[in-house]
Amino acid sequence: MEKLSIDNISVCYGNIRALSGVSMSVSEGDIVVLIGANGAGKSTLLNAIVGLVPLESGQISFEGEPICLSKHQKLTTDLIVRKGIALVPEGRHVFADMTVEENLDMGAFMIRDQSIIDKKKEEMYDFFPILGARKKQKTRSLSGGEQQMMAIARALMSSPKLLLLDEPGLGLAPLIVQDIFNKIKIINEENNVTVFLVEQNARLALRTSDYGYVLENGRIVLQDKGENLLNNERVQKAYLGA
Amino acid sequence: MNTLSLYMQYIVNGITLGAIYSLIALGYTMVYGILKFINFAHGDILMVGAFTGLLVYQGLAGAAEPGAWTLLAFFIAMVISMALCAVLGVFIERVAYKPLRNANRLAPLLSAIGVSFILSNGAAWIFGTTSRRFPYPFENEPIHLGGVTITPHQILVVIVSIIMMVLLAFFVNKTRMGKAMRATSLDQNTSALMGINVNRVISLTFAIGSALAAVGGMLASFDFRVYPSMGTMTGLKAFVAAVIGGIGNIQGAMIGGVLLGILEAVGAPLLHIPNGMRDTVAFAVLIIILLVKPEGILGKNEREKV
Repeated sequence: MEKLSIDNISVCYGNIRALSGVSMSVSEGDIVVLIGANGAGKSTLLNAIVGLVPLESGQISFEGEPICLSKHQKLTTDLIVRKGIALVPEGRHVFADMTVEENLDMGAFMIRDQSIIDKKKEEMYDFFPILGARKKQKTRSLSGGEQQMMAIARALMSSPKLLLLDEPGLGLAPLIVQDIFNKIKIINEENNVTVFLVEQNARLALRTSDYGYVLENGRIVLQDKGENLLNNERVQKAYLGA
Repeated sequence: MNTLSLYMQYIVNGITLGAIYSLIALGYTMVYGILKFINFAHGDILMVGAFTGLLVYQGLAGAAEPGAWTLLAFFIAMVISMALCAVLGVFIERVAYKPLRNANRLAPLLSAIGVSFILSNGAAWIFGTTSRRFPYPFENEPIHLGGVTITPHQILVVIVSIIMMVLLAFFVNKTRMGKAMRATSLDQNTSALMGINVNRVISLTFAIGSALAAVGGMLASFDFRVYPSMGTMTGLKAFVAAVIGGIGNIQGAMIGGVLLGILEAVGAPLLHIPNGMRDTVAFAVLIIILLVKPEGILGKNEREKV
């Protein structure tokens, strides 16, 4: 079943066209990866899905229901995420002056039942033990990897059906990146969360994925199963340094 | 009266004055925290709060002798004034600021100055320009403690201010919407990603700030009387207090207000500044802060234009 479908969307910043005629789809239960160089439009695409960037043309649907339409945006960001989408933004964007626990509380903003919130928090502390150890600390005191885990935990608090991740490995040591991708795999398999992630670290991302897309200069130039893309000559030359 | 008790007296007066500055400074600082914009109409909201409070109080208490009923009437008037100013604050934001949110930074600032003129001139048109006395809701017999004299109205000012600030601190730190407000002031887009309705948080911020200004306006009325331009100088000084504490920082506004009140009450006699020029103290402090520690006592060090 199709979870997310992006239909021929274009996005402009002033006169600069960031995305042109991008179409793609994310099937339920999959991990789908979008790879591309800096400035290819990867973050723009994720921001467009959650309505932080307006569409010039095209349409984005979630579970068959249009969430973003061209020109006049139909839904605001808070209403889109209420449908069951969570985004872990690039650069993490943790609430640095708030404690780890308060950040998780914010992730659960949409949940009214305190007992569910407490249960989710315990789950997160089990899944990311370092967060449990630091729950009363201000988030700014955490390391980059810990902040990334916190940003993921915060996104999971709302029990999303679709998790969007924007470069979860950015600026982190390889071992930590590996750890984060392992966690993403577990989230996908055990909690049945559909994952759509954008990454520059193409090898690891494609290895983790079920399906992949390659974005260049705002256009999708390739799409295939993750393993096939890993063996694709063009991908190997441009993104895998082979 | 010896010098020590004289200065103790100044400090007591300064704390009373400072508590009022703090209440008003909170509105400036909360709005700045979220919208990075100085609401220059905030001072006039305190004037509307003072007039509303006075009219409701007079309607309820009439010529009654000060006693339990007049005190109750005062608090009823305060609640009504807070509610009215909260609605007014939200209305002003929707009409005069929200349409300009994506405009040049100067646009909402000018709009705020325009709203300020509309409110103060509107009040002058309706109520006239003569100042009115806010009657004490109790016998204001001074209490002598050692060499220091404290009036019951000073005690009222300080107690009401403390209650308001404790309630605000509880709201901001412990409640769901309060935390959402802090999150929104840290990062609006990410807050929206949490499912927070940012517009609702902004409205709530204006409502709370304006309600606190109404309280500040009523409490200021005992010392300064009620008149259409009363908000200008008091509002400006509360703004100075918010800058001293670190604009955008709630604790900073509380500390900055009390500090400014004390500096003003102690500084003027200490430096032999004549009563008519007392206000220079506040602005001298502002200049010194801007030169020495522009981010304020508790502020973060980030450069911001206007």
